[in-house]
Amino acid sequence: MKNKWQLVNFSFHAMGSPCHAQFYAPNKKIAQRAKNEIRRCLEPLEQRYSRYRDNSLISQVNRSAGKGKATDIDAETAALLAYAQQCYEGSDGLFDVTSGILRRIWSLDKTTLPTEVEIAPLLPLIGWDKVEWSEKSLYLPLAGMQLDFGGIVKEYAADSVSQLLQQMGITSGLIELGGDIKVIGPQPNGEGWPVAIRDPRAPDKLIVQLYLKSGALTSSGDYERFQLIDGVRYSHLLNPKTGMPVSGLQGVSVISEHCVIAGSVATIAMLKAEQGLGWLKENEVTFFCCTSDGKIEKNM
Amino acid sequence: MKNLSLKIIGILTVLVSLSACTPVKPWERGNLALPQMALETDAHEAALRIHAFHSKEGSSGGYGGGGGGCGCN
Amino acid sequence: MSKTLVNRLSLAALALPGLMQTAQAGRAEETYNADFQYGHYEESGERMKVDIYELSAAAPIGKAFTVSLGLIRDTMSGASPMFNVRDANGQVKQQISGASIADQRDVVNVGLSYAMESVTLGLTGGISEEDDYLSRYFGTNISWDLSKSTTLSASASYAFDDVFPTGGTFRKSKFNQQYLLGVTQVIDKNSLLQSNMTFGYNQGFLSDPYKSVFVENALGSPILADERPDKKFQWAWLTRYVRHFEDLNRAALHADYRFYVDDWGVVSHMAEASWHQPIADEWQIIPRFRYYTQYEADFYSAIFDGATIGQYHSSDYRLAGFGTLGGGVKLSKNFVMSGLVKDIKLQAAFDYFDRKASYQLGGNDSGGFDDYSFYMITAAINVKF
Repeated sequence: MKNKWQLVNFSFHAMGSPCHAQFYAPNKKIAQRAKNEIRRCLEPLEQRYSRYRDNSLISQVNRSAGKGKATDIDAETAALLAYAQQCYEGSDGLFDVTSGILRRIWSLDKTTLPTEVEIAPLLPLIGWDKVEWSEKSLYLPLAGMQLDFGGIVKEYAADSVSQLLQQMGITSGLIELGGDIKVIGPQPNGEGWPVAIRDPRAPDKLIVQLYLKSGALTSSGDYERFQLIDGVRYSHLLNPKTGMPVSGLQGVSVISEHCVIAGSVATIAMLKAEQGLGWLKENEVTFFCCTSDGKIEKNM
Repeated sequence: MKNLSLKIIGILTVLVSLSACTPVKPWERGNLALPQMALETDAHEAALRIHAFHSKEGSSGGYGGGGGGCGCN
Repeated sequence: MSKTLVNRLSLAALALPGLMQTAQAGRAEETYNADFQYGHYEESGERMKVDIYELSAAAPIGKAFTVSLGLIRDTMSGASPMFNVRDANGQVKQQISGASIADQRDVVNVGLSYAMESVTLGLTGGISEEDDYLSRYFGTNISWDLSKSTTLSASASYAFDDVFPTGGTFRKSKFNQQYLLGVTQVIDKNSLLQSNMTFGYNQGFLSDPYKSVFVENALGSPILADERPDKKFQWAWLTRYVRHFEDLNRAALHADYRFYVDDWGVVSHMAEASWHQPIADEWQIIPRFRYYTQYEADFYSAIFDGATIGQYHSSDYRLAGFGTLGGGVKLSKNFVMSGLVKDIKLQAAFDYFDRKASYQLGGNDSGGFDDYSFYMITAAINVKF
């Protein structure tokens, strides 16, 4: 029965990145329905959590910061906040969804590091523990505070799409959203899907080719995105406690059951800079890492 | 039983004040879902025990699920 | 420390709607279940012995329905107390039936439940048949999730029983009703509490056709039939508490208390506690303890006097004042599998109890003539598909 199924390749754009879905569908009708369902799943997530959309839920919450009135939220948003809480606690406060405002003073086209003067007014507006939230409402108490789910939503979307396709009966395939990969199920012959991690020292080369039968692979993508200042590589990630961009690990790739977990763990490892490698090992994570001096470390 | 009404009022007060309980966050509910945390961990054994006690004692009730009577001596 | 972070993130991730498996609230059965349970009950002094065999199965139908079926067979044998007499020294003692009774009870019961978003409805019914007793019963129950931490429940049960004792010439009936109101409250992430109140009303032939009373200084016959009112109103209040102990390898404490009173004058307290301790690799050991105390019915007396005996009279040891103390231990092992069979659970338990007049709360000096002890063994296997 399975060998009649057709391989479907579907490239599209979502969440500000190029995306790709590859899966086996029993017939054209289901293949088309799957494509429609993928868009129907991703569109509302973007609607609600994109800070680029003025009328998104996140933008509403950010606009109401310090104004005295909390915003009503639904169960999904509450669950995302709860997840952000776990990331905050598990990273000793380094993974902080309120740290997005630091983007104002650091981007990868800057040639100098942020100064004390630039950082000082922003630090008091950062801090997950300041956010007032419950299962039903969300409020940012200081004007200027901002929430940014950028580090969670794309990975969550990959998991959601995978779950959706599984519920439709699709058991073989994978979904990739901007480099974050979630496997729906192994290839029909039982083999895993080939996925690759690039060598950060030579971006055209692949350092590792893996065959994933299940689970997710994400990379805290600093193999390509970094800024060199005085010979030190700084990533686009910022430390919410100091306001400075992190430097330490060149890149981290993590394999976990869910994309949202792989993504958070990879990001937290990067935020921990030099301690990131030790932290990954301590938590028995399946990872692939390139340290600041170009050494490759892994636990796979 | 003397002081029965006092005892009942006492217990009711405790139950009412429990409504101001600590809210459980979604990720915390894991513990309550463990099998050993179910109110009835083995419904069949419980039914057997309740039936055994009920046929030898003068009381019954509290558990729900009426069940059938029997001519137990 | 290792693995904890990933576990905590996983737990939080699984609460995200996009990752949740379908069907949550109220849906207990997503798998097919088959159970077999064996039980043995035995009293001291060659009194009653019962073997119980139970087969049951449950299956989900569609997204919201669950249907269940149960079959039980009890075989009992042994002697039973009929009434009390005074011996040569003036001490009260029980007169046990001479011949050994052998009886068999067969039960069939069915259930259907329907789970909606925050409400679950259930229907149950069955028949229990013995050589001298027939019971037909049905009931309905509803449970309603008021919020993520509070659930209300209510149920109504009815039983139509016929009594036609062996060796007797009559067939009498009784009608029992029971209504329950309950609330289950999550207190915090580690504990929850349930409290239920039941109201029962029985009407019809409520006496025991095999029991009699002995009357001293009787005007007529010294042995009269057990005679109880034809109505009984009962009220019970059960409260159950469960608490999780993360650090003790995720153990759980269960503690129950029930208060009971009826208009026959019986008042009782019951306290039960059990400790569910997971030990290596899907094993659990569960020690448990139970204390029960009862105050005698108004019309109970071990032996009656012709001058004071009333319209209602019973010497049934089960309506006397006494206490029961005991406990035991249960062991269970889970085998989690992949494939058609998802899970197999094996359980075995042993409990021992002492029923003594002197164990009654507050003491009882009626002597130990109707004291006895009993033990129970259960063994069960449950398979999930």
